Amino acid sequence: MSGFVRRLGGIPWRSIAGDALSRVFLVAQAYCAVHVVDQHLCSLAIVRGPSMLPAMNLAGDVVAVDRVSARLGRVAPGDVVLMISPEDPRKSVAKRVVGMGGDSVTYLVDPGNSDASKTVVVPQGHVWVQGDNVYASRDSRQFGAVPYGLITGKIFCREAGAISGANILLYAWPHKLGHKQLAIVKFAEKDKVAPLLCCCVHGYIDVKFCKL
Amino acid sequence: MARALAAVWPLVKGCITGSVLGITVSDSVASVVTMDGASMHPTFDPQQAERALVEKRCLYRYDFSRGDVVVFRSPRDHRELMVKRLIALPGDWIQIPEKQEIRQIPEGHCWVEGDNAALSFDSRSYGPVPMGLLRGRVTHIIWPPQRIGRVGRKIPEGRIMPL
Repeated sequence: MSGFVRRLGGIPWRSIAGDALSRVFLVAQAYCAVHVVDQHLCSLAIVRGPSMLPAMNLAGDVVAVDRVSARLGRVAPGDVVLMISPEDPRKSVAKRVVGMGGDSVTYLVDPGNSDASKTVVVPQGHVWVQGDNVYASRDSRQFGAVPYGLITGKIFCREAGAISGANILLYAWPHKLGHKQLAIVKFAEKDKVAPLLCCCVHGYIDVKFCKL
Repeated sequence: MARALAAVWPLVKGCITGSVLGITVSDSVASVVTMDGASMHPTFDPQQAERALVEKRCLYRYDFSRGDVVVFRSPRDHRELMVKRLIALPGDWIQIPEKQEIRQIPEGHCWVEGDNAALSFDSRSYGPVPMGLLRGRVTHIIWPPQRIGRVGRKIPEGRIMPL
């Protein structure tokens, strides 16, 4: 019994505690460094969904987010931004900025069903955001202009996937009836691509992006 | 040259470590904000530049309560921080006496008002504020010493019907 206590006394508790503390401190420093870089400099995110087709993939894309430009106010129309959703603060969404404060924005209210369009002036300190795929996107057309403070970063780089090299679009029509008739449309013909994306979202045709 | 660098390096390393730790703590745990303006009188006195403790743990799950004093980015200018009292949460119905109307707060938004109704530029002017703009909850006043104390919850009577 007393031999055990003597062995306990022989263990260098002080230096072990000192070692442990310095290692915990190292882990804490690493965690803080990662947090600072991720929240204030540059970050990676996964975006998915149909609202930014064809720029972003339906199934998911890894993107790099620049936090510094958004904080400094260097966001301009045409940029794709990551922002906190005004409908649910726990969700982040990626949309394209169409107008800044003071701009006058004309948009199609419901392009799938009608040709009606409206014009609004964006209030100061707000931005007007829209998804590239206007047929399947919840954006400023539904929830109005968004305060600039909700923007968390500017998306500047996308992991190279199938879409970046695509220059043609294949579609099979009409797949529901069992007939497979393949047709090809060039990516560059934007006014032909948009209605096909609309049909794809409504479920009438299958669409595939390929490289010729 | 190399010796001067070697002498200064521990200081530089200490500064970088300290600032990284400080930024992380101020983003995730708590930070300090200086009060400016008379919109929250008598809770905050406009004459003395009071400093208050802002706790950030509530931002993880956005669990705010009616009556909390909150800090948020102004919807008109993203560089400015505003401090007001959160009166209503998403889904609540609120009565606005000046406009004689009753509004429902939309999903993901909240209604903020200053305690000093006459001098406060708040949701009665710019409407419900998206909760994504909230940056923390004020819990204590920490300066000047004679004003140290908790900042409590206060809900105006008879104006809100919770969901």
